[in-house]
Amino acid sequence: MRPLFLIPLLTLLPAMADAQSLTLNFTDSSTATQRTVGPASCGGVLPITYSAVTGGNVCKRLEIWASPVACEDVRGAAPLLASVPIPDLQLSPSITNDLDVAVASLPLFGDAACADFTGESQVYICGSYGVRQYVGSECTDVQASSEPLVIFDAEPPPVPVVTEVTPLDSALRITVEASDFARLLADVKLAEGDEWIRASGAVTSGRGVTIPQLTNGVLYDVRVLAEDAALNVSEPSAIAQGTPVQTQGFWGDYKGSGGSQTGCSAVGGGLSPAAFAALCALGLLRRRRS
Amino acid sequence: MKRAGLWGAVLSLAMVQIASAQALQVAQNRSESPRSSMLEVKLGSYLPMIDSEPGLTGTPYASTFDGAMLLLEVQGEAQFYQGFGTASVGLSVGYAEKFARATQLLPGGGTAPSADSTGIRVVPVRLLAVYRFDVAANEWGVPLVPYVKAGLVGIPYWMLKSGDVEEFAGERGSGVRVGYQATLGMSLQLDFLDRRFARDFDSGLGVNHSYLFAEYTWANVDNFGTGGLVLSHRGWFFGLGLEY
Repeated sequence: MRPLFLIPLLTLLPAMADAQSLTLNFTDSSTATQRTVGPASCGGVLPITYSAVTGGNVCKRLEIWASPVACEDVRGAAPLLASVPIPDLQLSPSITNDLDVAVASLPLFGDAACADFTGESQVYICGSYGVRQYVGSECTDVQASSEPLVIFDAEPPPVPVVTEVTPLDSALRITVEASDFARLLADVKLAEGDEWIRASGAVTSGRGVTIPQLTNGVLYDVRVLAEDAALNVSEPSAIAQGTPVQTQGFWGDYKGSGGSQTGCSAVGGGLSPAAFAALCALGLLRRRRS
Repeated sequence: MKRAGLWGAVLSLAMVQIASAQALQVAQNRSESPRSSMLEVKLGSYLPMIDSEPGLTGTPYASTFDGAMLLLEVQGEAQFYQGFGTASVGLSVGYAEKFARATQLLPGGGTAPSADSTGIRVVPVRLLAVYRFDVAANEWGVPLVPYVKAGLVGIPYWMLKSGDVEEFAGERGSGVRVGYQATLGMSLQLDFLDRRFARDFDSGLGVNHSYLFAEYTWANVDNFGTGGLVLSHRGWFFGLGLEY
């Protein structure tokens, strides 16, 4: 009787094994596979989410670790970041947990401290647990299917080169030649002044940055700094100069030509069917009265 | 006499061919899947008649933009009558924009071209009643479907400078203008190009007929003549229609 009873069980367990899985992701993005950090993140953490479907037949605890080389199925001597004991996995055949990994604790810096490290280094976040495919079989490792990569970059990006300063209305747009930047920062000061101010409202778009809220007709000194994905900031560019000018767009041209339309921003911001119908009705009513 | 006889034979053969093609078309129409809707995608030029506003001292649109915008529209129709022709109600949404250089106001009072940009964006929304005379196409095999459309138009607009809605003397250059329109058009039913493909298109995807069309629109979009910005336009649209 007993061998007959085991036959369906032995055929069932491999099928269950197919459903076993382990995934690791950055908590704030399920699609990003790598994250670049720098010295500015030394005091911070990287949120990692791990999800395991074990089926309950677990024989080795779940471990999450950091490895400077691509993940293998066992941790070895790599530093352990988190673990889940076997009884917990057996009780809950499917688990999802969040884990905050301190950047400074990752094996990225050799003998140096995080803040003192120079250059570039990387680690993979790895994970695995063990299961038995059927009763009496060996304990087999289930490895994480995803390997989030953490890159530590302590190198500042190259200094940008200002190629053009375009005068806009109450603003200056500075176009640069630069590579490997995520954002451009801009410093501004009066040409006759001494104190540089970081332009808080500067907007990076394409290969340039726009500094708003300046005064038309005033000569400004400007310089640009590149910031990379790891928040490293370059040295400032050479100083360039520009003077914002007063401009008039089509709306100003139309109003200046005697256009009688009054601004209607409240409606123009979004047209609902009800607003459309109400405006049509209003227009018809006004026509009948006139 | 011999030549006349030859021509008569050719003409008779051609008439037989057309008659058989018409019979095939009519037979197919009788076996097609039910149809209830129409989807159109069309392109046309949109030249708003802003400069025609009474009281304007110049031609601000022509001076700034000097040309029409390319207007892309998508229209959906729900058919409520299928008999002697097809009647439906339709809703279309479009988008067009035009950009140019803004004007620099010189301290001494003059103007000069500036590096700043200015632009206008419009999103025409149309609520239309549509009648298509498709009797000839469906019953007699003539692949031409004339149609008329009439209805209400609403055009939200945004006038931009440096990428933001421009303000002038405290007024923002955005709003919506409403009006009405009429359209005359002609569709070419494409089924005759490959009847087998057309039949498969119907049985596989439920698309009964495909059309290429050209239409001319008269739209008066000036809040029914009550003054202000004139976004009226006249112009041709060309597009592709799918009836399903």
